[in-house]
Amino acid sequence: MQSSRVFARRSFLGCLAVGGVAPHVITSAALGADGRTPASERITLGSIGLGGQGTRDMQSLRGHGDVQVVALCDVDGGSRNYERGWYRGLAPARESTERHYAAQRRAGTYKGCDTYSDFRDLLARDDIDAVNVGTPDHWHGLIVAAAARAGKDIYCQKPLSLTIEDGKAMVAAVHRTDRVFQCGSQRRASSQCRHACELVRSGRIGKLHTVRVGLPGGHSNPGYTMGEERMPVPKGFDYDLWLGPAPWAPYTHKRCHWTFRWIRDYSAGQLTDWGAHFIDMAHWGMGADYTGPVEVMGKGTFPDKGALWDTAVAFHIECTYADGVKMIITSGGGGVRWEGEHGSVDLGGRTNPASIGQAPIGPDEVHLYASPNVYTNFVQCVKTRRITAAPVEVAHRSISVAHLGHISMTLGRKLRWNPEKEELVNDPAATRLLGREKREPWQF
Amino acid sequence: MRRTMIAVVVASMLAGVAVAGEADVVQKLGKALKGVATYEYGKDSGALRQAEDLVVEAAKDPELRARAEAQLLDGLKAAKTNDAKAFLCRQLRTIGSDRAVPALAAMLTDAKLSHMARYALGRIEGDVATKALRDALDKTSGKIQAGVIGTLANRRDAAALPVLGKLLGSQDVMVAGAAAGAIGRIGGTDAASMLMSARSKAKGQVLERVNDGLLACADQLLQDRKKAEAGKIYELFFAPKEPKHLRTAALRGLVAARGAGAAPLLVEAIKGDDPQLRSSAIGFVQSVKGAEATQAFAALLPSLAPEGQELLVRSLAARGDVSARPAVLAATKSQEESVRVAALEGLGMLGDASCVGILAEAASKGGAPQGAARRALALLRGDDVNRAIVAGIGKGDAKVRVELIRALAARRCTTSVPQVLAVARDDDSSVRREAIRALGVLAGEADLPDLLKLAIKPKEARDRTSVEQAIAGCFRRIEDAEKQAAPVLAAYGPAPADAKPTLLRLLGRTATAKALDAVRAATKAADGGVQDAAIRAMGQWPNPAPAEDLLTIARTSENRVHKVLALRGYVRVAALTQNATKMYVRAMDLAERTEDKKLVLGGLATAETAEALALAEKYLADAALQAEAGLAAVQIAGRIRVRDESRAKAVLQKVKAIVKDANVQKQAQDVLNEMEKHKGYIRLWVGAGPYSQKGKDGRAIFDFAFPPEKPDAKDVKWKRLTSGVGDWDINLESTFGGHDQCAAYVRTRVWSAEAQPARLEMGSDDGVKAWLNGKVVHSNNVNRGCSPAQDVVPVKLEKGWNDVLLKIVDNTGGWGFCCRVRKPDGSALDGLKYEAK
Repeated sequence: MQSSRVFARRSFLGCLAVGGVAPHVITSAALGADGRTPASERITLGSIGLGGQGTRDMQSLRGHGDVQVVALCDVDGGSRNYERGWYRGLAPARESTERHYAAQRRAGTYKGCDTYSDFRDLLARDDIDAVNVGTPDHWHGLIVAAAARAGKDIYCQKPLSLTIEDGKAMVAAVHRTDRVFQCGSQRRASSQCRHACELVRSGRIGKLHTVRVGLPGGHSNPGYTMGEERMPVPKGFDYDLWLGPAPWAPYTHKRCHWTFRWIRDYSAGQLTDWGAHFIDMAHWGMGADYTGPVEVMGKGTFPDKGALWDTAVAFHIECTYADGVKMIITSGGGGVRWEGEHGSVDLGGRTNPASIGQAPIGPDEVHLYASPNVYTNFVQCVKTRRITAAPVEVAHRSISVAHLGHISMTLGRKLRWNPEKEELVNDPAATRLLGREKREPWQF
Repeated sequence: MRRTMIAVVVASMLAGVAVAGEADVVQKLGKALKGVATYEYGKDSGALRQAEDLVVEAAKDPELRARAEAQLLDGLKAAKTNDAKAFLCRQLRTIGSDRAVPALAAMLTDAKLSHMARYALGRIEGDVATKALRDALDKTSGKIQAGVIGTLANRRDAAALPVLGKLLGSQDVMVAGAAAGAIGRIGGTDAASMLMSARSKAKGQVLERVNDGLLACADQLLQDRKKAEAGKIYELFFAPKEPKHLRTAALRGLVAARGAGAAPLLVEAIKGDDPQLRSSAIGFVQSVKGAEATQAFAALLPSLAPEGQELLVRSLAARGDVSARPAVLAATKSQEESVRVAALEGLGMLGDASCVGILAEAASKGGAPQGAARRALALLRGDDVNRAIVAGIGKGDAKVRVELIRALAARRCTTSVPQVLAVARDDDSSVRREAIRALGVLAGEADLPDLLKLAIKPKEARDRTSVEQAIAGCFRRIEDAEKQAAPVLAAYGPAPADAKPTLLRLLGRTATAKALDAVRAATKAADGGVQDAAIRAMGQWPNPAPAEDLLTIARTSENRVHKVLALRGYVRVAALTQNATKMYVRAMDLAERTEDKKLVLGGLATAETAEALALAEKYLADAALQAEAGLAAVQIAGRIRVRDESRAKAVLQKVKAIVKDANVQKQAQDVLNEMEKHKGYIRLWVGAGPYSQKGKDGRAIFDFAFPPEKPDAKDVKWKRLTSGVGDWDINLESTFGGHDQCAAYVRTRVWSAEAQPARLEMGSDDGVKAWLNGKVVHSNNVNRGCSPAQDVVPVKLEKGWNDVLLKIVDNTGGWGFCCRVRKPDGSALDGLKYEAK
């Protein structure tokens, strides 16, 4: 069952029942299924954060006939400081957007996409319906909250948050403003992944006891060759705004752009980068979208002393859920396997025994939210005000597992967690690590 | 690193790694902190990492924690740089207490360090820290003040409300906005009234913050079950003059506050002219329960535009109140297809047995509604639904009957098999086809005899193929192959000749010994068609059991067709055996026609023996067969090159010279290129291991000297690495097992004709340390998968034999390495020899 949007947290008020199932793919002609919605009726989109993934997301949304990209925002005016030396940032995003729209016009030219380096200026525009947030993780919380406050619907890249407190604030902000929110966890829209989860949820493997989540380990380094010494801030890059709420630190190339994810001030490495995908899938199959573990024990290997990239390179995290199910997250791998008393199901579709997956999911079995892809789903939900396939609390709950694992690894001990209240149990020392104070003037 | 998901508990990781004994944690921390005082970003931060580990260790014990905190505070006094102070603030976030508050509070006014002081202070529990933050509001302004406000909000400090109330009126928009946000986050009745009164004066960003703060207060009040108070705030924002997004947010709140009492508001919003509010309201319909509300919402349907109707029908369906069924049924007649689709789908949730007819009818019409109706038919609940469906499959419009039968399969209604079997002999071919398909999904072991009767005597002979498929489907639900075969064997004897081929093919699917006996006997049957079918069934056998039978027929049969069929079958099953080469040799001897020889060569291409390569090579000279022979030779050579590089190379060059087919030539060249790419990787090694240390992970043992790296070590058992040797890489797990957190040593000797500069190209999974002639030439403690030339190290080779020793450390998962010697510019260094003793 999907929860309804009003009370997406089943615990939101405790006084109202969870709503019904989410709709199947909406097919209404009003959605511009032919992709030719008049410009005046399109969803106007602003895109914040235009590095590799932010640009890709913007382009995917832009490809929809129902969407008009009207504003772009990045602290990098355009440079080759990105992964593999790609030319990304504000200028290339604007150029590609103008080319895109010019090709649709008889005149063959197009100007009409404004650019900003400060997201607040973009959000202040009252003619923007929705935003795409593709910034580094440490910015997600504040920008999502500000966008919700400004009445924008939100597509936000995974991992949802930097900390559990950020995540909780995001959930509250999106709910209280009743915004449509989609997290970029695209496997929620994959029919193959959905099928695997439906097999598990329908009890085909009997009682579930273990979920194994494999994530990549280490740090990858696509084309970052310079050292870690202090460097002058590149021209056209608003580094102070890039740092934003994070503790101040001097600029060096390896700190920003793609490899920010290997630095704990901005991300938690592979654990959150890939955990956002596979823990999320694990939860979907477990039926744990709106809950979390009750115990978490993590051990990690962190890089050599003195490294700038300080996120764990190897980890082993065991989580126990209230129903006794264990989730084991290990570095080195990529995938999810659910194991039950009668067999197992892999996220990729393999089942053991093979017979588990042969019959189609029957009418009395569990049918999960079906959607064609995350972008289309977002656009449809913006138009119909329906809950998306990857709503904010679901994304928050799955990334919370990674955050708890990270805290456990950092402290080197077991944590007990109350998933109802989203609090650690009698553990003030670890509670300190659930959030981080933000550099001024940034706050929720 | 793991290439595939392996879930092995990393025992050593779980065992825990003590950083230091309890007694000297504080002492060590003091020492480490001496290295912190002058720290600046970009400089060596080894001391910082060490201190960080010690602080975490100290946090586990209250007494150690207090002493460590004192060390940190001393460190703060001694710190010479802001970067050092910032680092110490991070540590105080972990273990700071009231004792740390004064020092941190003093930093709150420092423009560069205020945020780091809050980084610690914000996380120290208790009133002392809160008061220090509150006091700082008087001493700060602008963005520093805004930061302090944010931290007070994080602490939900209700005592700060009065001063925050004053700051709400600040001329500094940043401060006023921060105060508004903080008041909202602190929440409560007082906070709400503060924001309420500020609302009239605020504008721009501050107003946005005030509004958001008020909504936050309302949500909090609602959570505290103060519904009336919350409702007042939501009402304020629901006023028509408010911005649309606030009205939507307010409506959500009102639904939560009023429950079923919100139905009139939703009706009003659905009737209203704001499309976003309307869509939201239609969504909220799902959350407002009660039969009266159902009627009120359902009554709106006719007045809505199609897109609204579609959404409302879906919401009504999601509510699950069947009293909406008449309205949804009416919507199935809509002119708009999208509405019809939603209504049909909705009937899946709201409908009962009485809807079966409507849905089947809609499904039979095709188009977009078909899918919706089919889904609904599959979803309809109630004991009598299946009965109603079954009742319809015997008579009426054929298209409707097809949909009903289809629904039984989708619903996996296995109790309906007898009725479905009956219509599997229906006069209408489309009904029969669907029924047979459904049987493939529904029939179980008990139904097999009936299905076989159908196969033996179908309505029309052409139905047999689909019945055969249905029986194959049924087999999938019978795990024991003997139980699949037994009814077929029983049916086979009395079956008429025209049904026997079907039964023979089914026996082939079961592949039991008894089935093979029966099929073997059938190869000698009097009926030619049965003989044919038996030989074909053998040729399609799922395992190589009938190989000798097929060979005999190919050799001895006087029927030319049978000879060819048997030969082809023989070649096919040969591919299922471990060593097929001998079988291909025999088949080649028997093959008379060119096309049969080509078939054998096709099979041969999957082999990987020297004999197979010789056979393929033999036919390169035959103009009619040379393309196929060439292709087989290339593919076999591609596999044996690991073992016999020179032979593979010679054959590939021969193929290039002789075979005229351009595609084959290209493939030969591709393999040669691949061989060149990996040329020179040393595959001759001796190894020793695995070595590990209790409680230490791979990274920790990287610098621990195990016996093989000690010059005077005795009793190291070196063994030749024979398994896991790839084209270029060596998989150490094949020799030393799938351990984690361990190391192995590998050794080889390289002979150089003269002293010369060179370079070592290495890849490793994970860490690698290299010695050349006893000296460390490379050290890389990494976590990665292995690929060629990840590390390139310039070295000097001595004249004569050079000793190469590598230490390969595995953290978790895969474990392997690769290494070769090249000229300094990376080109091939010819004339080297290798030995491993």
